[in-house]
Amino acid sequence: MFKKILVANRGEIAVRVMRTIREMGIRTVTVFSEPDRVALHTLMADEAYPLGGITSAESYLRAEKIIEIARKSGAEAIHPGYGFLSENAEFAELCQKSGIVFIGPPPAAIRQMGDKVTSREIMTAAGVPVVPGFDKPDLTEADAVAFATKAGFPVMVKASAGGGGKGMRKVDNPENLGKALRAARSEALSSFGDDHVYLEKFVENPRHIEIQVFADNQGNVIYLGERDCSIQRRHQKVIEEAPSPFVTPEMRRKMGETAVQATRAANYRNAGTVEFLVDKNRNFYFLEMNTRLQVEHPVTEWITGLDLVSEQVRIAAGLPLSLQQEELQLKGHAIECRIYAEDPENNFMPSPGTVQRLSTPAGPGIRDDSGIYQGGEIPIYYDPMISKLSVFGPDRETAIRRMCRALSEYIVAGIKTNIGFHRKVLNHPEFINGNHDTTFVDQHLDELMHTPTGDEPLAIVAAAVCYYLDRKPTVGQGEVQKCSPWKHFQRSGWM
Amino acid sequence: MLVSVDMNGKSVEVEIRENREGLLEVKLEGKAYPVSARTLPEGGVSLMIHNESLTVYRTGETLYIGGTQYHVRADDPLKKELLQSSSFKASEGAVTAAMPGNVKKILADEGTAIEEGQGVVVLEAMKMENELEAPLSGTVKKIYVSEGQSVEAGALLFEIE
Repeated sequence: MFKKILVANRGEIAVRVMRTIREMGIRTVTVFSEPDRVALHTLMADEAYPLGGITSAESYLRAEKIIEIARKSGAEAIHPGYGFLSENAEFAELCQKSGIVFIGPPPAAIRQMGDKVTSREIMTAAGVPVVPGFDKPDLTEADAVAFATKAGFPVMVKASAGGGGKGMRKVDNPENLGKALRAARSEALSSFGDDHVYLEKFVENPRHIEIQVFADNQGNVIYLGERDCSIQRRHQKVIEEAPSPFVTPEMRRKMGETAVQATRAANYRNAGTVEFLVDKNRNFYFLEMNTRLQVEHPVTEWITGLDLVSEQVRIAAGLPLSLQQEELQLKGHAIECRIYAEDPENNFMPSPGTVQRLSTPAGPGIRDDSGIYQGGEIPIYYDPMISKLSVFGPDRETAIRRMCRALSEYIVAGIKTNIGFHRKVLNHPEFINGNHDTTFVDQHLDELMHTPTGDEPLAIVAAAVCYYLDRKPTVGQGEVQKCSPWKHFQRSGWM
Repeated sequence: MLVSVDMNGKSVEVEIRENREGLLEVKLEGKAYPVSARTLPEGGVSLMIHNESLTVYRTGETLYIGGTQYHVRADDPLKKELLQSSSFKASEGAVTAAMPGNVKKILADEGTAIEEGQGVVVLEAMKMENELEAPLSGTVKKIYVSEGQSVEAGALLFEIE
């Protein structure tokens, strides 16, 4: 087993990965940008090395510098987390050449799955269902109209190198196809440096359901059930749960076996996620394969009892998976809410700043994977996700109630967050019934924004009383008690 | 004491009176709430309204109750009237930064004609680009920032007239 691992990331995922590495008795090394000198991951690591620079490109994306630090510190392996260099085939290759183990899949698998057109071809050849699509070099408007007319509108124009909703256009009629092709190409070129686009039939009101897979070097491939990630805003997931309220046991087995087939076809190793779009008739189509640990992996950890980071490290060290498919038992229900520094009332705009007050939830079945601390700064340069709150319960209803309880204990002051937004989604009848699809947030946005919580009169009374207390002569100060409920909620610290 | 409280664009008056036992009588829209209040360290306040225990936390004009943020503004009703009647008002064509960020691009030149909704400045923060548009048609009177500059929340970016 490794003695030292470098975690090439920041924020909550660097903290989460280091926690497991430390539990495994392995020394933790990390890197930090200039604004992150006192970030939580920097404070928590056994060893931390400066990358210099401020923006991601100047710091966490500097592949050669990171490898040099790994060498200098004596780290035998690098865990890339998610984002940054995690899906960069050149970086994985560079690790290999430098004799450092990249904790993830082989470079070839990253490269193939990173290209949407290539991955579609591999999956089609392996018998994995894909959304009907059309691709050829120098795709013309006439080609596009011919395909769309045959497959039926609406269709999607997608960038081959795309992700995160960029280089993507939905087209409802033939007249708009030419314009959409041009717009998607220009966006793809400026975002990914590659203007190749292709067409796909648009799946109406789909659910986003993904299968967690693992492959070791001994030829074992297993699936760890599904995650339902249908609650999204701006094409980004905000709430995930496992199991999906929409998936039947038979469908789970079918999707899982298909995902294993896909994993084998990609000649894959380590942790991966096969994403599917599922239509209302429970047909599922391969969307893409993510070649890294997912943000939402804790919900799978809750229902399987496994530590996915530990499995990743074991596989990278050449050990077999710690269990076989037949030994896997899914238990209970887990939900995760991504806590973002953002303003739901202002089109979910990021809200960086100082965390003036932080009280995190505790108690039965609660887990908070956070990357911040009270008094710390949330810099403007990186992703606005500050924490992932996840809960576990024996069934979905208990898990929803538990999440509502946990959110009511969660206080992050000084910046805007989506905590209140989460409470409204979890209380929405359509979410409670499990009938939601990926259009849920857009469909119910007004309702979610403007439904009163019922606590408004209390807020008015509280504001008036605070104003009164501020201006009251200081005679009554002797009454002020020294006890603090905040202490009660205080984080246990990171040491 | 009379306190004027603004929330969600509505303004209400709240009357607070303290009795001899130190208990507050709070009147809001015809309803009376007996309130016992204690301040806690770090901006917390414990309220007991009809024995209902409520812990709130505040920073500036934001109140936190049970994980939810409320934007409430309390003020002296007289002072507020004065402010509203004064002639000071920011120019309609002035656009400020809603959040701290970096000026990625400037899309229009000073002195040029511009249509309402046309982009003027692109701000970047946390991997997101945000194009700030002209709030009205007219001329770009002044651009207060330059490309590459970092700005604080509330900073004046440009003005259209």
